Amino acid sequence: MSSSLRAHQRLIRSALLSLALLPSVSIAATIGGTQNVDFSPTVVSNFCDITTTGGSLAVKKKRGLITSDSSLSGTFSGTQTPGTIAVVSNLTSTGTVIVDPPKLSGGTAATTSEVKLGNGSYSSTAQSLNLGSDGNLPSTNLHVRFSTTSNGNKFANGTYNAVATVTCTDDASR
Amino acid sequence: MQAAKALAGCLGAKAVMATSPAQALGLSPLLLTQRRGVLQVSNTTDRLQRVELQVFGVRQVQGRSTAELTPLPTAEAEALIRLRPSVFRLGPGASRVVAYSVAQDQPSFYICGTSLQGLVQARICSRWRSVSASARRQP
Repeated sequence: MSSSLRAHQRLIRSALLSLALLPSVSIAATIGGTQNVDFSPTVVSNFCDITTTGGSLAVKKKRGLITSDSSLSGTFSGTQTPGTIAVVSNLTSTGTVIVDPPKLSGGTAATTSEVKLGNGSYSSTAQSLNLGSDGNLPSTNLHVRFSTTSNGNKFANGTYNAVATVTCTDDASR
Repeated sequence: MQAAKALAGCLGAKAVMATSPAQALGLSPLLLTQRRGVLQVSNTTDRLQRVELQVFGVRQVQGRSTAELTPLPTAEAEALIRLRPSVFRLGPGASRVVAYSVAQDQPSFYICGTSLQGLVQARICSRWRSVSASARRQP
């Protein structure tokens, strides 16, 4: 193939390539086109975040006690594991965390329902927790304990679940 | 270990509760000062969670105001505050802004985001305080 023919072919290819590229080049060169990048909004105000982990329950050998507390003496069926709660907030003295006594659901009603926070003592009434000066509450163990005087002081056969409610509020006045 | 298994087999009453990873719920603002506005609900964990916004009356615990344990009936709650949606799922690390509108001349109440996990039900509550209740707290 002669060199003049190869040069001619290169010229034709270049011309075709230019035609092919021309439309996109003209689009890319558009001046003044804009595209917004949107961000979803945030609320700036007092806030509270509660982090929890679930626990697990076990029943005492003679069936009179259901608990998440492995420090209680006796032989149990199941694995006792505490729930945990932690709070992050921007509240100070007005922040309130309330832990209510747990509720047991299952075949036999509990006669006593108690909650224990950290290394405190068991209580059958709602407990108020203070947040730290930084507005936070470090991870704290939450234990529950149930006993019954029904059914001959024994929980009847069946599956039992428990729930304790933890509530964070701001008690400040406007 | 074998003794424990044998004991578990013998005992009829089984207390079942699976241990589960951490779950977190956030809410802002905690005081509603305008009849119309937005609530921001956040899921700061890496797990999907179901969140429910419910309306509660006010009670006192050890001198502090907090929400009642049982939510108000739906009809009563909707007469106090309108908000959509009231039940939704939040993906890992997601936040959702929910618009609300409080009816005129309503008593104080709480609107709480609730999330249940294992032994613990977490609630974060925003308070609507009636004008008369606010006035009473002024010195």
